[in-house]
Amino acid sequence: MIFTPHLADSISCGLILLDDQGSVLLWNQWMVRHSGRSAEEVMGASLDEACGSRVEQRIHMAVREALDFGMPALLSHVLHPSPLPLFSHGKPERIKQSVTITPLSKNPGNCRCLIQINDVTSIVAREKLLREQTRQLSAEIVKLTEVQDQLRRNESRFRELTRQVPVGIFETDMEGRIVFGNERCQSITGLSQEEYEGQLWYSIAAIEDRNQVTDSWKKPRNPDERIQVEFRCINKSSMRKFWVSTDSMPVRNEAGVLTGFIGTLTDIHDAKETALRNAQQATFDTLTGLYNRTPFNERLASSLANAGQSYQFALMFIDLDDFKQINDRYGHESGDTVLKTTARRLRQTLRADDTVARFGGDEFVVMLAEFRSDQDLAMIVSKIERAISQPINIGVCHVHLNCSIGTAVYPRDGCDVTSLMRHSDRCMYDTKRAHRDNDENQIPHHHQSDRKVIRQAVS
Amino acid sequence: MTPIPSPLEIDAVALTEFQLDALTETFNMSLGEAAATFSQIVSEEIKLSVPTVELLCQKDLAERMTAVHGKNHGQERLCSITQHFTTKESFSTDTMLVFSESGSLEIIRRMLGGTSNIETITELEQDALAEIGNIIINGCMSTISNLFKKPALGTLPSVSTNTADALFSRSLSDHVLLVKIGMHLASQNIDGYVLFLMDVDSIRHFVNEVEQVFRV
Repeated sequence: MIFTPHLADSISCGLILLDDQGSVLLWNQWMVRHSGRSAEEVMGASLDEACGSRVEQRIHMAVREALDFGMPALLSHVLHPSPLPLFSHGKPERIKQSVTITPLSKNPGNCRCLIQINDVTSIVAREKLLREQTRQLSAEIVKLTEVQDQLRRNESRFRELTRQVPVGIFETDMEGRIVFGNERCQSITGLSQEEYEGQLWYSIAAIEDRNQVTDSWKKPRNPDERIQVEFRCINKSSMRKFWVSTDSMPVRNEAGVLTGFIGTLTDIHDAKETALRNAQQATFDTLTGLYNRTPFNERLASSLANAGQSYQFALMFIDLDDFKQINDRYGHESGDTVLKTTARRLRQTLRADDTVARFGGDEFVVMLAEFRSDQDLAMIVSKIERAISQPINIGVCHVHLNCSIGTAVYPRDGCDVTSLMRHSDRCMYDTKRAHRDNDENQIPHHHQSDRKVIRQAVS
Repeated sequence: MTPIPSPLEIDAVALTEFQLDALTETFNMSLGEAAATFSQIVSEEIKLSVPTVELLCQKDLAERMTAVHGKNHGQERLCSITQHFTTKESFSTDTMLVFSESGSLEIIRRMLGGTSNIETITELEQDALAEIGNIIINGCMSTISNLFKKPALGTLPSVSTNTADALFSRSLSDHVLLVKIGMHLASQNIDGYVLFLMDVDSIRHFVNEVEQVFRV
């Protein structure tokens, strides 16, 4: 006997010893517990008798091979889940088993064999769990890989877009520090990526526009409001100053929290310069720098709209007398000099609140913002007449011109642009006629032109 | 340390052409039986290549096995199932069935029908692999013991997975009778090898037995 019963009983697996006839010689305590048959009951019986007839055929074959040829056998759980009718704690299903059958003899052919049965129920459960976890993990990895692929595609698309797009694109944090800028940003600002990253975006504005840009960034606003601002920027490598526009929108993360801004930076220099020039030309007379007719009329209309009954202001039509002769005699350049000088004197004579415009040719119009009395008005008129009648140096000589002024007072002479214009225009012609009549009475006709021109040698 | 065999000893177990033919035929028969059994288990046709028989020094074996598997698998690990057999007053051998690790996993998972992505063999899978090896090796050894009319007593299979170097570094014997036989599962390109590791005495006995069987 190889096993003493005590040793066999203390082993935590099933042990069955069979003699060369296949009869049970040993049936340990573990077997008693799991089969429900006592050792006495099964002693000397065949395996089938000991277990009932529900023993898997492969066990019988393996036992025969061990006894007859000395071949050991292993019956794994995977291929033979429960070959023997063994149970645990009265549960109806067989326990999961792994069985080994070992020949025990130095004399093959006249052999005993030992059957060992291990309960692998817990291992099966553990591996099932492991398999399940692996499956889940694999599924997650597949999903993650897909997401990553998508991300990679998006990122390369984004990178290519930002590289090819003809405007600068930059991203800032909430404080306005640049965290990203595309290639175009670099070429616009003349800064390398290392240089502009971490800089406040509005620091690229030229010094004269810095405050305006900073204000537009820092002023309180609705968090979702976009910030659009045009300013001059200096390219740090070429030192060229030029107009750019930025248009920034706030960015939120997945949780909806504001994280910064994404903005575009566009070189608008040529368009901006043209627009500025056009605006200048539309508003101001290029020769004299005075207002043109249209902006003057707009200002007049807006003054009328704001004026109450108690408030009075005057409109003044000024026409240079015999200006045509200057042009005819000394050329247009001299005429221009006369017009520029007249404009300068008008501005010097009048107050800052008053508006002066040139309506074309030698016609000037003034809106006197406020005056106290007719006497006041008469005094201003005479100041203007005196200022304009001063000699004007036109290079080859000094010329001397008078002017005719017509006035209209709001609200006395009219309450709208047209009636006020018409009234002052009519007054101006009255004055001009009076000047002419006066001249004809005092000076012989052939001297008329000479009266206005004082020749002086140019020193 | 394995003692380096002297040329004399190698000569002592040198094989004649007749002996080699006889050995080849023996293994052809025995593995044919083994493959038939295996084929039943996996319910799939298994094709065997003609066995090649070589006599190698122990020290050359690892190199040879690395070279065989290195072709397609780089430094892939091997999985071996080993049983020791003793015949009374004749030979004793370690009989090994060797697959590449991935090949062994594939066989097991085919049988389990699982689609597990676990990269190493689990405990139950290793058990199943031991059983497959057991069936093949038993099939092989019982044919041989029938031919020789000498019962062989075997031990239970043990599975081990390692690099060729580590697997064959143990000094089991001075010489190895290397029988290479490709076992091709029809659906998969899996090669297996059967190895007989014997000492010089056993090889001599084994060759004698084979000669007796085939001598006319």
